[in-house]
Amino acid sequence: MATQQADYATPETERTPVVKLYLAIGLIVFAALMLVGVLMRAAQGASLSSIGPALFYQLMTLHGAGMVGTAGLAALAVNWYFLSRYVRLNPRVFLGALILSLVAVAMIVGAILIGKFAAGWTFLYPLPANPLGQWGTGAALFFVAGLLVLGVAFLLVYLDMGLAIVRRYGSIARALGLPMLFGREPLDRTHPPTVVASAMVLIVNVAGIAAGAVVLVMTMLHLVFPALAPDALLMKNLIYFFGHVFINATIYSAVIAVYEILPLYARRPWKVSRPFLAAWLAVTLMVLAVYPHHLLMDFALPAWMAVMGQILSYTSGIPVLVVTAFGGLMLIYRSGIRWDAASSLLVLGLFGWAVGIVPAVIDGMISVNLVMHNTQWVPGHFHFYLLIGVVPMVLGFASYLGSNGEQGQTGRLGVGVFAVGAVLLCLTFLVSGANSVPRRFAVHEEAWQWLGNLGALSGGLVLIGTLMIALPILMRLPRARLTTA
Amino acid sequence: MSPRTAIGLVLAGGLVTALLWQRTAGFSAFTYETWRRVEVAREPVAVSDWRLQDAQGDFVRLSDWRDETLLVGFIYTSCPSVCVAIGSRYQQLQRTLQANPSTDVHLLSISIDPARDTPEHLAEYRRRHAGLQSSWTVARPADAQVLGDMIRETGLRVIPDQLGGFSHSESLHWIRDGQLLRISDWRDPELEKMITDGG
Amino acid sequence: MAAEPWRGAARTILLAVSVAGLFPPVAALFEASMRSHLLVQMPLLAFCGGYWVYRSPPLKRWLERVDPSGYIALVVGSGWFIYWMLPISLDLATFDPGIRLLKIVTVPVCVGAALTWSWLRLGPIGRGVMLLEGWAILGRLGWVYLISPVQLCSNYLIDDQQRTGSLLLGAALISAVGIALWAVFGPFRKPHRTEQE
Ligand code: HEM
Ligand SMILES: [Cu+2]
Repeated sequence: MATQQADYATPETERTPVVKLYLAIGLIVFAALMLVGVLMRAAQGASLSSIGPALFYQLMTLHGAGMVGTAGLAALAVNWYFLSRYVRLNPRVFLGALILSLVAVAMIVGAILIGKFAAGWTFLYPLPANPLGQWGTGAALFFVAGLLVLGVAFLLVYLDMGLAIVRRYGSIARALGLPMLFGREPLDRTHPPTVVASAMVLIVNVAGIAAGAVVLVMTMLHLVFPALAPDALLMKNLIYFFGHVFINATIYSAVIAVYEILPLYARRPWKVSRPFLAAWLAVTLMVLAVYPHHLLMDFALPAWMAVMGQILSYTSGIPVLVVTAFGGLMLIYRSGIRWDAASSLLVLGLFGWAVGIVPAVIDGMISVNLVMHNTQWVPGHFHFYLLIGVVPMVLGFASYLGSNGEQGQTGRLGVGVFAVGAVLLCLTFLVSGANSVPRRFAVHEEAWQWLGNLGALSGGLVLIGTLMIALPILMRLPRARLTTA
Repeated sequence: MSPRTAIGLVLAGGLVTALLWQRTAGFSAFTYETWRRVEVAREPVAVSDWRLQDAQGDFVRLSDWRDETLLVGFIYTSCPSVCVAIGSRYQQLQRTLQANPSTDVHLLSISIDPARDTPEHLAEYRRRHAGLQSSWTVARPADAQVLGDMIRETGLRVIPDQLGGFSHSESLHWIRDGQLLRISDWRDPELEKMITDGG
Repeated sequence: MAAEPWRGAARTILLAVSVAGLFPPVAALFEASMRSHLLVQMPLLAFCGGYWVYRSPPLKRWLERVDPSGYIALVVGSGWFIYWMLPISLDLATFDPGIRLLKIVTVPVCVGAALTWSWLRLGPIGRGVMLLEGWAILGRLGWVYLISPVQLCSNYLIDDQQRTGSLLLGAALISAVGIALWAVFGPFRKPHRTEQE
């Protein structure tokens, strides 16, 4: 068994270099875009009046597209690093994807900062083609083409992962544990959770990228030939299929860090079980089963279907969350775990994910959704999920990879500052939302401005915390050596 | 990648791009109809002196409008859709002509269905769109030979549809002194301006 | 061995049908509607070229020498594919004999054979990208034909165009299901065969 594993695994020397590159870029960009977020929140609080609406929407597009892209890349790095323990991945493909992504980033940033594109990262059709003089068709084309290149970059890595998984496990379905779940094969408790999660991410993201390949080109065709006007509802569904699946998948990739690192602290393995496999299958199906309704080329999609899709996509997070949070707690419970930067960040990530589900579920109820969905409740929910879920998992991974989690007093303090700031920031969004403050508004009523300013302050705390954790890692990363197993 | 492959790639890419460039007239025409417009704009096309029969039953030739610019649209009077729209467009353009008596543009609608479009039908079509004989001639080709010449020389496409009518090019053709000078879309809002500028 | 004469016959028939596309009665038949032109004749022609690459060792040797990586074939093949996706090319092929000849000759060679060669040469990742892009083309082209407010080909009525669009979208849907099943549960062969390749 051991020799077989060695045959399949990626050689140890090939595993870290590219991952370090991903992490270094990811951490720096995260910090820079957090600053952009702080600027936006300060503009909403009217304490930065030099940011006018035009600039605000450029910043919002930059922050949204940048954060989604960076979260995707960082989560991909987590996924790749741990999956490469079990299957033989090609670091050149991984590096090529990074280079392609940087090209895409250049296109996207250029479109925003030079071309003044400001239609939001969701480039919701037909907004990119109706700039009211703010940006040109060229800028919109560049932005959309950048997303297309980004999609190709991810596709390359997923294809490599898929091949490697099939080589070792026979099929994606086996990697997901379907034969074990349905009793066709005996339960192998040493089947790595990483492989299960990777299979899920692979399935949903490749499907999302396929939808993106269609919808992005249709958007571009519409930009060039305005008369060619696709159905707006269908476009919206496809865009959401692409964007929503992609951003959802970041947490399912990042959580692999929890599966792999927490057991090292607890000195107990994370064993797969039938409920664990069932939960991952359920998530795969829910994320997918919701959207094919929208893909049936059914041009008169009834409104209830869209709403149902929304509920399902929110509830679809719950099964995996439950098995993971429960599994994590069981693992930690009475294990005498060492609380350092990495372990506390990973547990913070679990907490953010878990608590972030609550506002999502509230928003997922139809009656609430109709009132709430365009308020800051929504940024509240997804910042919980991303800022206190995905980001700490990535930071925890970086901390473990860079310094074995041992970041001393500064590290622990940084985690505290990060956690306080992040929770406060999300609360300002949620409280705003509960007070019907609309999302995506550049200028806020006077009565709401204190929330914006408080948000900016807490965002500043988040940034400080992030830097306290990330800077020492960045400095040590080039030399860091780590063997996880 | 070997240098040979790289050179091959560049060559192949260049060749393919050049061919696409040529076919689409510099990435500006993706359909036959737009391609026709671009081609004519680049180089005018000679047309022969078509013999036509107008709504009065009189025979005329293109050369009868020697010092005038003809704006020619192809229609058939039983057409339920585009030709009606083109008719209304001509009605608008006629108003522009009346407001600018000094322009030397003359409107000409030519039937692509000469078998059914007798002079009576042609007259009825013009009446439907309140057309004036002085500035708008509605005619049909004198014989099948002329119809063939028209189609061939202008590159017009006419195909039967499933309702007993035709699907046909909707463009308007500017013809002067036996030269097809330009092809415009009938929806083009610039048409009025082109008329007052003398075609 | 016994299969050889049969193969020869199949090849002859394929070639005959393709070349017959040059002559008015058969050409009219293939070009009568957008559906038969785009969805029957074009794939048939491309298939001829692909088949030729598969079955001709001399051609393979020549390609091996000229384009060992398959990249050049990929560029030529996809560029020429785009060329024939332009409505104007399809239109001209129906009434311009020169363009019709161009179609009969180059679609097998520059699309069918070229893309087949690049497929044979590319690694599994390249193939995956090709597969996904090919699928996406079905979806995009079908969608464009379905919604275009203008008649894209002056020789094909707009309802013919829309029906072609629906057929393309149908093909996209069916192949999506097929590819998805194969990718998740496949590749339906012993995993170790890939090792030995
Ligand atoms: C210091 C940390 C952060 C601050 C201060 C911040 C601030 C903001 C603000 C003010 C908005 C606009 C809200 C509105 O619609 O009114 C926003 C939107 C957004 N943020 Fe953040 N953010 C931070 C971190 C993050 C992180 C870590 C992510 C993802 C990994 C993220 C992803 C997004 C996304 C996707 C949007 C939506 C953009 C849109 O509506 O198009 N943010 N953020
Ligand atoms: Cu008509």
